[in-house]
Amino acid sequence: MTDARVALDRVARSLLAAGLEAVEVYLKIGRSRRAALGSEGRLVSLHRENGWAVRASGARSSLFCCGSGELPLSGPWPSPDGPSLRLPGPRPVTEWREPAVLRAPLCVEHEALEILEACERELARGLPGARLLQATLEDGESDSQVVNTRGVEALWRQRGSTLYLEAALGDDRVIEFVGGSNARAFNPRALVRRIIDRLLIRRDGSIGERDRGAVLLAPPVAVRILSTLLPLLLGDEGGSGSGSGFGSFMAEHGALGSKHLNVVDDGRLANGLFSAPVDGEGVPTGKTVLLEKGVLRATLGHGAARDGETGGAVGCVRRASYRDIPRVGPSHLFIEADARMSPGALLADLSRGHYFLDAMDAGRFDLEGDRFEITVGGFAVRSGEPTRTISGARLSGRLSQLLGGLEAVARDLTFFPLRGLLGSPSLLITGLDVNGKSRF
Amino acid sequence: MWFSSADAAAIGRCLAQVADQATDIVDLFLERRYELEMRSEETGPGVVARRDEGFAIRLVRDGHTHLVARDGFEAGALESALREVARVIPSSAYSVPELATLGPPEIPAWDEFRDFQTRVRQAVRERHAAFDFRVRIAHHRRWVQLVGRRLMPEPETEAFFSLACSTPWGGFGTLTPELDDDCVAAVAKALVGRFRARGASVIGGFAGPIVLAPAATAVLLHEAVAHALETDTLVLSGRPEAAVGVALGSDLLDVLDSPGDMPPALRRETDDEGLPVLRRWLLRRGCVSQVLADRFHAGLSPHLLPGAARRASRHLPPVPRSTHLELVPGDHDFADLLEGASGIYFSEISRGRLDPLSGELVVEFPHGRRFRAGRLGDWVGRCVLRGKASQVLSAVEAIGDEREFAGAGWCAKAGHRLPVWATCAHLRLSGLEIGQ
Repeated sequence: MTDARVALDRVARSLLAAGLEAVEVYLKIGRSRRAALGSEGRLVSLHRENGWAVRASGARSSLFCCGSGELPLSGPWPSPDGPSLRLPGPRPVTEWREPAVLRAPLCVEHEALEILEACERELARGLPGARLLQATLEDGESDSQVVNTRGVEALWRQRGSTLYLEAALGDDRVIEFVGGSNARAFNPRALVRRIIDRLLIRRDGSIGERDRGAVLLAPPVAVRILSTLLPLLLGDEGGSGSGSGFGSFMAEHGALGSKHLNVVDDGRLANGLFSAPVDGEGVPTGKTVLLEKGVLRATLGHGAARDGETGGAVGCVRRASYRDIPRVGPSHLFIEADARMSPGALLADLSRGHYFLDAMDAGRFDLEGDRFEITVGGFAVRSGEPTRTISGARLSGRLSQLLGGLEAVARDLTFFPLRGLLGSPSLLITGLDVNGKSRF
Repeated sequence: MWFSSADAAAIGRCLAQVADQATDIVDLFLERRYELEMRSEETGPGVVARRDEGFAIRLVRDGHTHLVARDGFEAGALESALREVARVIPSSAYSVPELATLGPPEIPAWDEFRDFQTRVRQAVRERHAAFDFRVRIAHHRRWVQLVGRRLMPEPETEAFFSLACSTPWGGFGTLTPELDDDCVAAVAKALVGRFRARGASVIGGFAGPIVLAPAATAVLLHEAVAHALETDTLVLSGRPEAAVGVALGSDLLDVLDSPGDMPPALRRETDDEGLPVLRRWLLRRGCVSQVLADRFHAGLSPHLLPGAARRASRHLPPVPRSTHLELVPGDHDFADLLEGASGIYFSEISRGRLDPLSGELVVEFPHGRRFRAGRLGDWVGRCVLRGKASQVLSAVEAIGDEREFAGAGWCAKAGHRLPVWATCAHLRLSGLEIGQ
């Protein structure tokens, strides 16, 4: 791999003529294998990634350039424009022990296909008539370096896998998308079981009756709700959501949620898909409590914006690839689980309510209007027992009730690759409407 | 060749060694992209340049596709990629040429970008509106070259601009081959539309006639005709060739895909598998005439014609996709289409999707305008049209007599992000319900 420090010196010299004094060089080499079953038959591909990115800024202008192949040390570079940007300064990196899985070899062709074919077999055996429309496994590894003229210098390795499964029964279609640090750890039987449960709910369920009891939300539904908090948790990059919407929301309610709502972002989560000692700017990662007992404690932010500050989370700038501008984003952001509580115990204690396993659409969440609705599927529950299959029900209410009515969390923390990895255990919430009148 | 001084015949001979069975498909796909973007955000970077180049070798054998993709053209890359795709270590080494590019592409001048933003602001003011908005402009250039065992078509190039505008009342995006006066007017009109409709009433349910502008027609036909007739969609529910002859819509509809009939900067002679593109009739009098196929799917049936393959990137295999939809014009002028009972006119569709299994179509309108007796009236807010694709297409009762090259945008079906284009006219539909 090219020596990034040497490259930085050359690139910085070539950009100085354009008045760009602050320069960052990012280099990445990666290797990945993809296996897929679908309408294009069986596909196996091998990809070698070799890319670079340069960010540079002067007093009144800046640029971001990236490309594949060799870094052009002396340009040509486009004329800089627009506002300036700030690069982070160096921070001490706390001890990082590289997980052994980072050195594990990629899945070979037959291993990758075997995982997909196992999913296909499990589905055919578990639910005759169901079809696997698309299955894609990606397994990759990369080495990255970042250096900048403020003294940041970092080198790290990452390893990640994702599995995408799309299945249908009649006209009903469901998708499971999971990620982890090791493709060999995917469990086809468990994943397909989830798919079968969701397809059966859609086939056998009805919309159910209007109700206003307790609801137990399984991780796939709970994560959709967590994702609505992202505009707040992304600090300055949250866009409109961090403005008047959440501002007025918190002013009115004091806290965002109940005492059971603890949200954490951990860039070094054990076996996490995005675990690394530093983020995409070379700033050390760590674990940050964002919401504690429902109260906002910190937001994610740029290392440069927070140089010299004591509060706020840094080390949370992500680069989806060398082609992407570094942006603040979660790495492994999750609602903390309660290790003492099983989802079965929460279900058993549910005297009357619903257990929703499946989010059937993306939902609508209006922060300023303090309202939400999402279409869900699962079961009506009486005395801890499922009594009726529900599909297409509308779960709705006030957002403040959704977050403030959180009564308990279970221990089944599950992550989903959305924007970063978002995770949640099952959540027990009271005071929401099932099949109530639409609030939109 | 733009990418190399290497001997193409030598590359072809190497590919022939990999594809040793008569039915094998093997090709080398060379790609170079250059994208320059001017941003108007509050934080930097103010300029983004992406330069991307590399190649992929594909081998299709017995329904299995093996693809090896590389970034850049480093020494020995082609040789090692050939070994990986063949998945053997031959006893004698291939005599493989090296690939090399011809230096970095020319960086376009900024003046046109800056001038465009000024012209849009001026055009908004001329429409008696003043509000805050941002315009992000990117210039996209792509060069591709395909080399097969016996085939080496001419290189293909494309160049266009993408615009992403944001207002307090929603975003607007489009693609355009030129930043000309028509484009300025279209962008200003779309932005002012969002401004005028900002407090418009939301309609709960409406069942009268609707009229779609050419840009909205383009999105509707892209979802309901093009996606419905792509072989990777059709194969999910049966044999793709069985679709031919099926009545999909009103007998007023004649729709074709014609990648060769676009402005010069976009025009294609061959698809991304190196096969000549066709003027492909998708619907004739509302019945399916042909479907969109690539080589892989065309190999499944003698009734399918390849030539509609597109690759979003060398890292992805080709897929059958539409490039440029054309709607044959009708004989109604715009005033005719607005005659009669009270209806709603939609100038844009902000989003559309087709469920490949159920055929359920959903299109979202950012706003619309009521019309009655030939005159446009009050604005209405965001609303949605839902229905089976065939039901929606059957509701077409009149087609406008003037066509526009309009409605272009990014298609992201199945993760393949591709620019798509259209030349369409106004459509009038009735018997459909518009709701939330």
